[in-house]
Amino acid sequence: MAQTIGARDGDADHTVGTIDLRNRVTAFRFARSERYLTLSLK
Amino acid sequence: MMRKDDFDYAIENTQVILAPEQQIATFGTTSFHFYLISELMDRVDQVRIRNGKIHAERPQILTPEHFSHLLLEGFGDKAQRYADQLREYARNIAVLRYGFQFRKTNVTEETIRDSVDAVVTRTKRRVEDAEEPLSAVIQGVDDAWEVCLLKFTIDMIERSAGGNFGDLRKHGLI
Repeated sequence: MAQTIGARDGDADHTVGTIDLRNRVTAFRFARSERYLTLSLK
Repeated sequence: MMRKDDFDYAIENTQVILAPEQQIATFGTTSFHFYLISELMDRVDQVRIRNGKIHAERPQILTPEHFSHLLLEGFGDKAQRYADQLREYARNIAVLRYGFQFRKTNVTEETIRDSVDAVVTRTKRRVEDAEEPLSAVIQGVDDAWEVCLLKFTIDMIERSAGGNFGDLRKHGLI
């Protein structure tokens, strides 16, 4: 599953990224979960 | 086992009523306290409040190359094109990894005979009055409450990413 989100740097709006939900079996049980956010540096 | 429809239903029906005032810290662990309110599935006017803690790890910077490898490991062929694009634009991309830890054993719950609206209102007021800047009030689905917490973590990333990104840039890390 992926979800696009926007992020803002306070003094410049040069970040729009994609967030990926990465839920393995252990993650879904929530012992630990991770999300990845990609940010454009342009 | 949870079906995709159940998962989607829980995501769509989760609402962060009161978000923590504080965001995920850029340079340290952040512990959020949650109150997750849900109506019991098979009883009228009975509401469950679960409360516990969820720990957000310090956001980690990954290289796009490493992220590409992770993508392929987790999503296989479908991720191939995206991974290729990431590699192509690697110089212009930063990747942050947000990790969350949660212990089910530390969750306590109580069941209250009242309407869900009344319980939500009361809990929100209680948290506001107590000035708990790391607390959240969430309304969700009873039998998929862990998915509701998942949605909460997504919301927290959305709220925190801009600040985290700015901090990391100020320190010259990305």
